[in-house]
Amino acid sequence: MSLRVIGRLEALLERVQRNAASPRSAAVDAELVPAPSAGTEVGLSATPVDALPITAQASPSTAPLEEEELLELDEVVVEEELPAAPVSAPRPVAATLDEALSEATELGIGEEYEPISHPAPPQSGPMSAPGVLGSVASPRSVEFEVTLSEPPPPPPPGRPPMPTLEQLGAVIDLEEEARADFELEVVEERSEAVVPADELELELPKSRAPDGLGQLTPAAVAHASLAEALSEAASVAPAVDELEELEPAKVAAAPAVDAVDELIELEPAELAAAPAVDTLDELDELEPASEAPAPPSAPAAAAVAAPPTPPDAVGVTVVERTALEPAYVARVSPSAPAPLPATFLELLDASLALGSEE
Amino acid sequence: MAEQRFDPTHVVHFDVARGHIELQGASSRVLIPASSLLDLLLAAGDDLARDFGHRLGTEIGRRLSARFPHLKELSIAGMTDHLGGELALSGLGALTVERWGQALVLKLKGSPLAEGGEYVLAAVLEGVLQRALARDARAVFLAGDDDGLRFLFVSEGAAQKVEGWLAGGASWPDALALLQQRSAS
Repeated sequence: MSLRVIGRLEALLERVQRNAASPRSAAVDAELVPAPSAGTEVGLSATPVDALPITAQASPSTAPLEEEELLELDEVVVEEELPAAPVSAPRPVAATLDEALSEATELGIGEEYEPISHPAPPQSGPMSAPGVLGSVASPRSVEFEVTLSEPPPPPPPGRPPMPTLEQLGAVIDLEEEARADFELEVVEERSEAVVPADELELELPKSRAPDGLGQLTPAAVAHASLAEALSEAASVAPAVDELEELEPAKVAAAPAVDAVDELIELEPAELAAAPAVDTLDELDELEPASEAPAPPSAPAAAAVAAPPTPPDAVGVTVVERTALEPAYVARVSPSAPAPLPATFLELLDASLALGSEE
Repeated sequence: MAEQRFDPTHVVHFDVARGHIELQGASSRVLIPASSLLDLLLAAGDDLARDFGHRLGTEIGRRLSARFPHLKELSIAGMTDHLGGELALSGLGALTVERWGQALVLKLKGSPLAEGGEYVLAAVLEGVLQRALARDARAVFLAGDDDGLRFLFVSEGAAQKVEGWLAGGASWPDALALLQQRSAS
């Protein structure tokens, strides 16, 4: 028997003893109205005050009670009597605790206490088909919807598994009609890019159009034309055997060009004036181009003809790092450099000797 | 014969328990802010500042002599290595040796005493050469910029001439060229 039952039994025993000692209280108990339930508002009861029989017998005061006082009294009495069960007649007081317990057993006290039991584990019921989700289900009848698809086929041996487009979330599904339109656009663009060679003719200015090059043709057509032009140029250019007969002035008169635009401005005769050599020996027989005056429109040729003299870096020795300027170096040591001293002391002595010869 | 390279291993010893900083072959050191030292030297005046620099350079020259008995036989590269190492241990900057014709120019880069302490550094270098090589050379401050401070080492007479040319507005390369020409004529 739990402590709670024992406590209630002791309270019951004390109450029985108190009732036995006070006959007036026993009479009051006999005339009590049924106790309100726990959820009833006692203080604001709708029961008329004058209908309560307890007010006439429970209060010994001769003065008439006010309505509020009656409410308070009713509230107090009811609170005190709430735990008490209505009895019709006084019972004999139990002499000992054992007797009280036996009486309580006879009265059925304690039967209302049930052992605490754990709730049954949730059952793993069968899964229902889709369509039941829209109805309200009780918590114990949760239904699941599981849709299983066909497992992906295993990857071929020797290759890592590749994610599918569905796994990557990038599934592009073109409609058949849109796909057809897309392909059609591509085909149309290709048709614009391919132009027959005989339909493309661009006129160049006469001053820039050498003979035979007045028309631009697509690459495939120009390839054949270039071969023909090269064969023609080879017939115009002097042969290797004729190079010895060329005057140095003519060789030097070959203009030096450094840009494509300058090449376009050249006349076909100037292009033919450039000697063609096949071997280094033939190149050595030619006069250097620096002997002839360079044309004003060819600064690169002038730079090659007269390269800057390398700075005379002799005469200054810097250990670990140098920040000397070439002009200062040339000014300090215009002649042959002095031999580098073998030791630091020799350098110091040479420096100390400066200015002492005057 | 290959010269021995400068090796600063275990040269500086910090005794934290005793609160001492020891430099091998020298007296105790004190780590102080360079700016505070420069302020003190500038407030002391030129003579005291130059004397301080001479004493500092003399100590460096003594350490060099103690380490290399044949210091006078060191090559230019070897002297640059060891003298630059000692100056670096003192925190005075990185040394570079330049030879302009016959003139010897030492350059210090990254010195914390560069701004206002040029004459102190010149005195340090003079003290080093005097103690290590037994040469009385005057260090003429040529110029200072981001590239470093340049000092020309000549005799006392040549130093006065160069300083006069520099004071007259000549650039330091012109002064060096003029010194070379006067010596050659």
